[in-house]
Amino acid sequence: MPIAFEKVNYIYAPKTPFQYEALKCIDLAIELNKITAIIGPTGSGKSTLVQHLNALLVPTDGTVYILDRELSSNQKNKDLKSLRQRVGLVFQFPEYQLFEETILKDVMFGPLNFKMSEEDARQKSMTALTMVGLDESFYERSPLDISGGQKRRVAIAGILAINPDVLVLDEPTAGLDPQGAKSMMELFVELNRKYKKTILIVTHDMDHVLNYCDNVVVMKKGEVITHQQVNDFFFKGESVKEIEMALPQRLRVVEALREKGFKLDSKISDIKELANAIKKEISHE
Amino acid sequence: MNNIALGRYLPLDSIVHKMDPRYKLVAMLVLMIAIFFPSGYIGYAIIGSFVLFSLLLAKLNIKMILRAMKPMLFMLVFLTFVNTLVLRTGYVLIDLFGFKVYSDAIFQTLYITIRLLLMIMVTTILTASTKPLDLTLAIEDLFSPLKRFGFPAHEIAMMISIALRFIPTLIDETNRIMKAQASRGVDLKEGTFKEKIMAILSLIVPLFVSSFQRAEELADAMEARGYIPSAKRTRYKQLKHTMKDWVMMFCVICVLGSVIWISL
Amino acid sequence: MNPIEVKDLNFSYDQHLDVVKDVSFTVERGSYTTLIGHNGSGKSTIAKLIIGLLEKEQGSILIDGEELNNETVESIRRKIGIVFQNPDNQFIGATVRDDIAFGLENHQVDPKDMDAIIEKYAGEVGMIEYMNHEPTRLSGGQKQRVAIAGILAMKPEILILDEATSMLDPEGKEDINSLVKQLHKENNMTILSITHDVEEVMKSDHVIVMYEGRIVKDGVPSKMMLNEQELVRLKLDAPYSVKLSNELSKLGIKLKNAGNMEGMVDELCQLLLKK
Repeated sequence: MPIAFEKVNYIYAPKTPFQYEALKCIDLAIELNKITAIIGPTGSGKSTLVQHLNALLVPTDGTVYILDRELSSNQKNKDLKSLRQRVGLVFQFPEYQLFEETILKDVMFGPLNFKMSEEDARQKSMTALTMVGLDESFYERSPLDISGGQKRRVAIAGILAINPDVLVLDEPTAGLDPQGAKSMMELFVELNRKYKKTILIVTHDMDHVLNYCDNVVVMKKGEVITHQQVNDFFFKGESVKEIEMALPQRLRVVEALREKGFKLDSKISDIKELANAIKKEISHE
Repeated sequence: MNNIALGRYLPLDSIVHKMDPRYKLVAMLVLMIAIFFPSGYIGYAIIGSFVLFSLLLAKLNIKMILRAMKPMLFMLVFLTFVNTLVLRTGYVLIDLFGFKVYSDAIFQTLYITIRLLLMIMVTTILTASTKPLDLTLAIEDLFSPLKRFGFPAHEIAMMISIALRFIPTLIDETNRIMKAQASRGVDLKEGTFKEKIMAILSLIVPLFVSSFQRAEELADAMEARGYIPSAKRTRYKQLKHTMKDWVMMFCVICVLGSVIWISL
Repeated sequence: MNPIEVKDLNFSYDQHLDVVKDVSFTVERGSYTTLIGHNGSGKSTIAKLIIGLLEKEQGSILIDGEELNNETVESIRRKIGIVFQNPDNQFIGATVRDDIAFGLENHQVDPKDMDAIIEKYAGEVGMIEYMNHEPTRLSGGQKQRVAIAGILAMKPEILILDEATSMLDPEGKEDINSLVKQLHKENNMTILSITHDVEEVMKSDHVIVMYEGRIVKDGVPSKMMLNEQELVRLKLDAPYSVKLSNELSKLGIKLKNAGNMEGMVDELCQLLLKK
């Protein structure tokens, strides 16, 4: 039951003067039960790609395989709603999707749409709100009356309550303050490790890719440039340099030190190991 | 939506496109008045030929107009039917197995059809050859003498131009909200009545909320840049009339004049 | 006379988180000052108070020595340009040209002179090829550049950035940051940047840290931002250089240049070569 793209093309507004090919012959297989980052400059097709995962978009050419479904343009793709229960998609700045009278009701909206019983929906919603760090005091408040960061968390809880197997998030930390961003990424790691969810994150934050993700897909101008494990991407080979994106901070420091004479060739997975490696070289010389 | 020519600006390169929007707007109003005078065949022939000439000058084609008339087709057929039954004056035109169709019925319907056709043609020429923003400027200029009596010409024009600027943005936003709610299981095609209401609410409420927030932020930005609605300000875009506009105005007034003269 | 002087400022919304309590600070001419704080600390409220979009409850705000009140707000707004967070919600004109013209119209500039001014400032922000573009065809960074052009056309001395890059992608952020840096150096503008980017703070001349409506730190970044634990308590992220120097100091390497990554790298290399 894979998640795969097979020779997928997507063209916006075909046969009009605004025609635009957003995805060009994509061949991609996403590993289940891992956290995959999707990176690339604006306009590279990331959003278009992920919208295929819950059938908001259907390929113009080619086939998308999601769990036990197949989506292609020459089929009648019916019952897309059941797919959306298993693949939850959270858009960028999801705060704007809140609309219900109370926060609890808003989070229950998704589960109820997917025909969960009211009691079940309530349970799942309360669990979801706890997961995002919002306690009972929030249940009866209006979703429009809280801070932006809290709204973001309510929106994400709204998708978590549906309990999808696959969670796709488009820039979930955009605009959050550093601590908010950190707790959000840690939540995704928990969802993956503890609840075995497959997670895809579209992001611009290379530090997050390095610190939290297992795999990375790099896109540019509608094509997949590379798809590797995060460690291979950053530490082996030249792909990282071709990407023209800012390196994560830890790697930038390593680069800067190496330029000035340090070797630092051991594996450095976090700041403590970096400090240790620096100390080692200074003490041994 | 792409096929509706009625009301949409078409970026063509014609003499009419380059004319001063104020003159075009006034001309349209004058012609509308002319269309309503009962000036008989000759009158409508005069109006009709002027309008057709303008249509061609604006590089528009009649097919487009006829397509715009399509929605009215049903109504016109119905009207013909009603008129045939109700109006039984004039001479007998057709005699169908004893059922008589009178001339007045047919001519009345014809009159209405022609008036409708001319009205659609005139408004289409205006909207197809004039950018919405230019029309707004024209409205602002034409109504500004009323500022003396407290009519907020500038404020209305500013509101219209901001609305126009944000229409594409709002359309994008609506699409995004629809997709976000679809991801939460919203399905406008199926569901009970209550579910459909919730689905619609899930689209409208966020749109309203974000629009209000947008309005607030916009107002802050405008104020911070020194905008005071009632204060004196200059305007970047200036409308300039030329000889062509005068000539066109003159022709239109002649049309109106002759139509009034014929009607009397 | 300082461009911005705030004394004992107090403000609160009705039932909101954002409150400003007894805030006093000074922004010096030609400096690049950053104002940082957790979400809800009151930093955006201060920007709106300075430009008179919100009315203070107590205290005084002096812009170039002039007290901000109902009579002076119009003339004070000419001296300050402010760029807000959402690129779309401050783009008023139908095109880039029209948007830059908006400020000029408000200040009753002669329409005949407008084209030249618009082209000049569109050029300064690098948007000359986009003059007739509608906002829907522009990226976030481009829209913010247009906002800055519109501000520059009014020739203000003070530029306030209210989280102006937080909704932009890294390319857009870089774009705006370098443009602002350029304006700071070449035009000698006084910059007040409200941000939650700690790395930007380290590059500024002066930092003001807010926590729950109050100012808790006010000074030079390289001295103010060194205590990692304190910063975490203030709900901020410490700069990477500070985190690294803390780790190194746990291992016995004490550095002098803790706040400055370049300085740290140099110092470490010196240590490497010494041994």
